[in-house]
Amino acid sequence: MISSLGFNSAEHIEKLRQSKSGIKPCDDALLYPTPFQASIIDESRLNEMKYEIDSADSYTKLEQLHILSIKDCVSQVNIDVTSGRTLFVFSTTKGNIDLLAENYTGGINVKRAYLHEMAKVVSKYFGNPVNPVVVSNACISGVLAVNMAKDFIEADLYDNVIVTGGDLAAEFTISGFQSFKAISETHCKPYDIVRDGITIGEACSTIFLSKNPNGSTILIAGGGSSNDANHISGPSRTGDGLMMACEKAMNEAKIESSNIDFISAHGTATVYNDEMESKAFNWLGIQNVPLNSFKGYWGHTLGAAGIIEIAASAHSMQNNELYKSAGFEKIGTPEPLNVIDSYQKKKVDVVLKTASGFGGCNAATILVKG
Amino acid sequence: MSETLKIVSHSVIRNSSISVNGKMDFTSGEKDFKPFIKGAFRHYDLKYPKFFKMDNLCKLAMIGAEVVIKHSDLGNISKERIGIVLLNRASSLETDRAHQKTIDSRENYFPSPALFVYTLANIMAGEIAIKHKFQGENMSFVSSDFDAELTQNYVANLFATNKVEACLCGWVDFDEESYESVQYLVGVNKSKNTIFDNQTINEIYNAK
Repeated sequence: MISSLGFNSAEHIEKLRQSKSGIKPCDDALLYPTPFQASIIDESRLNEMKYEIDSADSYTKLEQLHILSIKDCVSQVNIDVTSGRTLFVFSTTKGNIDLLAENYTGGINVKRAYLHEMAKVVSKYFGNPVNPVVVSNACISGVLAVNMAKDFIEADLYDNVIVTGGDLAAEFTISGFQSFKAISETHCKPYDIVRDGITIGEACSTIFLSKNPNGSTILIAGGGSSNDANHISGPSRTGDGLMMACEKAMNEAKIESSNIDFISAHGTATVYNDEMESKAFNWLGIQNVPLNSFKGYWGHTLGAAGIIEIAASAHSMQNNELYKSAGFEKIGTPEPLNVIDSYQKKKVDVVLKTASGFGGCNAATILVKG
Repeated sequence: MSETLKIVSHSVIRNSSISVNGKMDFTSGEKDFKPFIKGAFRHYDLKYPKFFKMDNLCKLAMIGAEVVIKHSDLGNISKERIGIVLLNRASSLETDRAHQKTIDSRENYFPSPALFVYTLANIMAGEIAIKHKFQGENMSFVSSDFDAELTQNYVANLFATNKVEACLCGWVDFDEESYESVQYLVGVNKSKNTIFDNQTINEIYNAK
């Protein structure tokens, strides 16, 4: 896990336990003409860390983050990344979008703005011979990528899948969400009564999935996705699409709603997204299950969101603890939700992770501790 | 898997022509994309004003999907069980470049939500879903080349795990005025239809 909270998982978990957010005021005219709040990766730390990368300067910032994140992940397991039975999957919405800017001076060829070019450069760094897969499906990319990895392992197409997700807090993205008036004036407050929009974050996170347990007890047990078929930039007003995605994931995992211990929800902190989620979770009868949004810690990290939030959920399961939904004080959704308001120890065996995004898409995955 | 997956119908759009199931369905003397696709929109008499708000990628995807769906008997399959799995090379880069132009200069700074929303590859699936009310599985891949195997692996698994009963699939790419749409609808046990496998998909893609 790499975000404003740190460069590895341990640093993230420590901050999550202390309910410490990485979102800060940002007054960088190169990113947006007026001050705003964002979750930005520590640049001086990245400049130190990048010496771990061979020929670091021949990679973009996002490629460096991917390389560092994958290195950190695979160093913890015994796996041959150069095997033809190991697949790299990239989850990103915009990839190296910073290369398109007129004022870009980094010297990397603009063709690396093609998402598959970025994926090839990074998988080649690790000597992997397989054509990498790129999932680019708005904010549900990460959840879809993990579900796909599970499917491909179950279908015996690969033994190991390295799923990595990353996106930058680029001027491109910030200006676009600002034009939608979707960015909070303060710090995003998922599910809160005064929530007024998202906070953009940048992150890169990697999950290693394997047919062999490799010491892990966490299983991706089911997945599903759907489309609201309602609006390209606004969520469903009823929550029907998200409900269907969750039902498919639960059916595949053979999990009843009463088995779920924790919901790692999308929780962007826009008025309509959080409203939609409250309706879907009530329909599913899981409104009393403890729920959080990790966006209050590292913002909305787009293509990284599903990956970093599933990674955080896995730590929640391993440690049997629930993290506060940062930024939340008073419930402000039309239907009730059990938003986690403080750090707590609790047995966490089954997690529902959800995501929703532009294009009307929704995705869900079920994690089970076995 | 016990059931055999079939390609119910397919469409190919390139070089100002649209073919359906291997037969020419519409051709235009317009070499440029915009007048060509507008001509196709009129030819198929779509009556869908939202079309004119879309970017080029979505217009291409819409027309390609429209003709495939028109030629597919979906029977009584629930629209919640129809998926959309698309793949392309340039993601939404054509519109990304347009959005970038609106922010490159502080003196002439005009980012617009109507444009920005199209800076995602999966918006074309969203537009198709809205038009046809398909609420099933969604997936959007980016790949350097038409990758029949990736789509085949992914979609066959959606059927095997009972997540879809039909799936609109294909390659829809738009980049610097070059465009290509190859879409096909995959379903179960339509005995007279073509079998859904890598070879068939590649044949459809490579047909002149």
